[in-house]
Amino acid sequence: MRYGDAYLLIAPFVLLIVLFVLIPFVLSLVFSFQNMTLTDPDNIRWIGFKNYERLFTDPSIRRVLGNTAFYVVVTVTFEMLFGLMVALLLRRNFRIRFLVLAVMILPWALPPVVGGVTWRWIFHPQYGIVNVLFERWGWISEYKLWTANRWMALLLVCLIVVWRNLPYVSLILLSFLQQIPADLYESAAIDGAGKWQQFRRVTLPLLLPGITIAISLATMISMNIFDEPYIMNQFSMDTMSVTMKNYTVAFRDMKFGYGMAISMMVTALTLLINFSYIKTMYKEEAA
Amino acid sequence: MVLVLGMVAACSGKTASPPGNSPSASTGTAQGSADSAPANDKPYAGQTVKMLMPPWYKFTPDFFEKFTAETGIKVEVENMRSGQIHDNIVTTSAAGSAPADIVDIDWSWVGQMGSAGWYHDLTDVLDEQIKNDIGILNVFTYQGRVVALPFFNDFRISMINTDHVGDLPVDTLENVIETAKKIKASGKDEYPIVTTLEAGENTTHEWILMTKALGGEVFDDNWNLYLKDKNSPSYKALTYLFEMFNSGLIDPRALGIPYEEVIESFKAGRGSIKILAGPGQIDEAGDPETSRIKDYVKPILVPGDGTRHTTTAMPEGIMIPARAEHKEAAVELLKWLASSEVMKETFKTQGGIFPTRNSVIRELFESGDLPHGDVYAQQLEDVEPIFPQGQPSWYAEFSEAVYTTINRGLKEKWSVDKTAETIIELTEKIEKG
Repeated sequence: MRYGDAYLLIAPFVLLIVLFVLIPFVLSLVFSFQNMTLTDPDNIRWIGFKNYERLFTDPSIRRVLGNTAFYVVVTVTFEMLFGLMVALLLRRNFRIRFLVLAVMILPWALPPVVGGVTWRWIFHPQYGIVNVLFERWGWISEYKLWTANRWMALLLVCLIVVWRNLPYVSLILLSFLQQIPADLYESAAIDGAGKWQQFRRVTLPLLLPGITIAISLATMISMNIFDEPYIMNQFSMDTMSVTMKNYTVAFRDMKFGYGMAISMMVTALTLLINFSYIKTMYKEEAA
Repeated sequence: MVLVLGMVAACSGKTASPPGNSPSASTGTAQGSADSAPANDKPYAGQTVKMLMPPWYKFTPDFFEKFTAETGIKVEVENMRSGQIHDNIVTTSAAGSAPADIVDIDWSWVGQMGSAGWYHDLTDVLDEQIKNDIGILNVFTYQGRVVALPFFNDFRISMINTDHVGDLPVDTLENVIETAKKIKASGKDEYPIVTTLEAGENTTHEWILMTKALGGEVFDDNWNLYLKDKNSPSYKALTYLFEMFNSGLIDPRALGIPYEEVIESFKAGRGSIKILAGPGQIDEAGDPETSRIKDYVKPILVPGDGTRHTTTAMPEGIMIPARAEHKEAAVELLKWLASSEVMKETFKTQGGIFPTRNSVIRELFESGDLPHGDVYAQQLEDVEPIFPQGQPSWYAEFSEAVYTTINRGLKEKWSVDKTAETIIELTEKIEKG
């Protein structure tokens, strides 16, 4: 195939990316340096870095960044730990393996809103099954509002996010696990390696690319969560994520310029985190 | 989010029409005056007007049949949560379009819609008789232009469960607290005062209503918060709210229960006094098919400071977006909805939407079709706008500062002082323009 033909084939996709990704991104960047407010459309002007300076002085930004960092650290940790456990279990052949796989994918297949609403009802302060059962077992004396305490609210959101993303992470890791040749384990066993040593010396190193991809994607998802904290706790600052803050600034307060500065900040943070993952992976591979 | 904002903003900027200058306002046909009778008496026949309305507008399938027969215009109604309607209006209008031909808007959006120019000016569309008949028209005006037709007169009035309250006094906020304590002590009701204090708009409304009931305002003429003064009614209102919650008179779970569930709770017999209520909720609480307390629901004047029962209205209006596709047909529908007969019918059979025309309220009361009409009439004598200075375009930001702070303050057991200072600090940071 000539290069010309190849470029022609990919041209439609490149055009789509330019139109729907690159151009909006550049425009967002430009507007983030303007005081674009929809309630004052005739007064848009260049204000330099003022929107970015505001990011450092706005106390609500610190709070939502803190919440988001909590989500990322907790959810990614648990998703990777449990994801690896599930992937290792599913690597084995057993009779109902395909059925387990199909059912396991369900949380991921559901729209996040549906999952969020379901969990909200499970933890509902008046009708939730958790309150019903805990009171019946004597663990609580009366029905509780589980989101009343900030840390409990944050953990609840993490629980829902992990529940949703675990299948996705497991499948990524499973696909890489299945590519590890079986004879490597046989050779290791012959050389006297036990199960743990086989896991540490064979499985983990060869799984590193999969782990990197899974961590990157899981981080990006957790950096951008909206549905779960919103459904569980509305616009409470206890659980507000940076994406929710972005939404309120842009679509409720109608301050698009500032909203875009927040978006740029999130983009930069996500790229930085993923870059560090990939750099670490290449370092490990080289070692 | 970066891409969404970029795409929406790329389509917006200076495309919004300034007030009063929307294209159809200059055509003359949208005004529909008797002098400009079209050659065809059904000039918009065949068009379909799309309405975007919140779920409490329960339009039956046959409601618009008469209008369609008269004009040939079909009507399609889509129900959507109020917050989602706002998001639809913002995103489509910023992109130079419209979510529907007619949308329901909340009083709190008037400043935003007005300053962004996203509305079709109704100043010359509504005739003087209608304008003079609507006492709350100013709530839906922006810089002298009519942004929307006030349609749902959602003034605030309180309600009680007489089975719990009996003859105990509830005419002042102090009495409400004392009565609630007695009810709690008697074991009749664990959490007698019903409200939601979640991080949402209703929490702001609760505080504002109490401020008004105590004869106060939220802002002075220069948009400085009266909350800075510890003797102000707004500070006192915050103190009462904290006292009610910290005394166990309000369910602690109210910090996370939305408004809709609070009503269901009240209808199930949980709760005795609801300070922030309205005619629609009173109607719902008295619904014989769904309410356990239908025989015990009674509206009462908003408890104040003993000298007044001032309330405010948080009405809704019907707006034609500036970029509506069928603007002229929408104007015809709007004028039909503004008529006395239709407003009466909407109240009686289409979801209990309390009318905004004073003559209609009077007729319903005189004909006996307005349950609790005597209390409503008395309350309507003392209704004030939330902001006498007009609707600020930055209200959404202010409300967020209030409800997130009150919600957090109650959760983390802050003092009233700390809560007030935080609200003041956040409000002062808002760029008011």
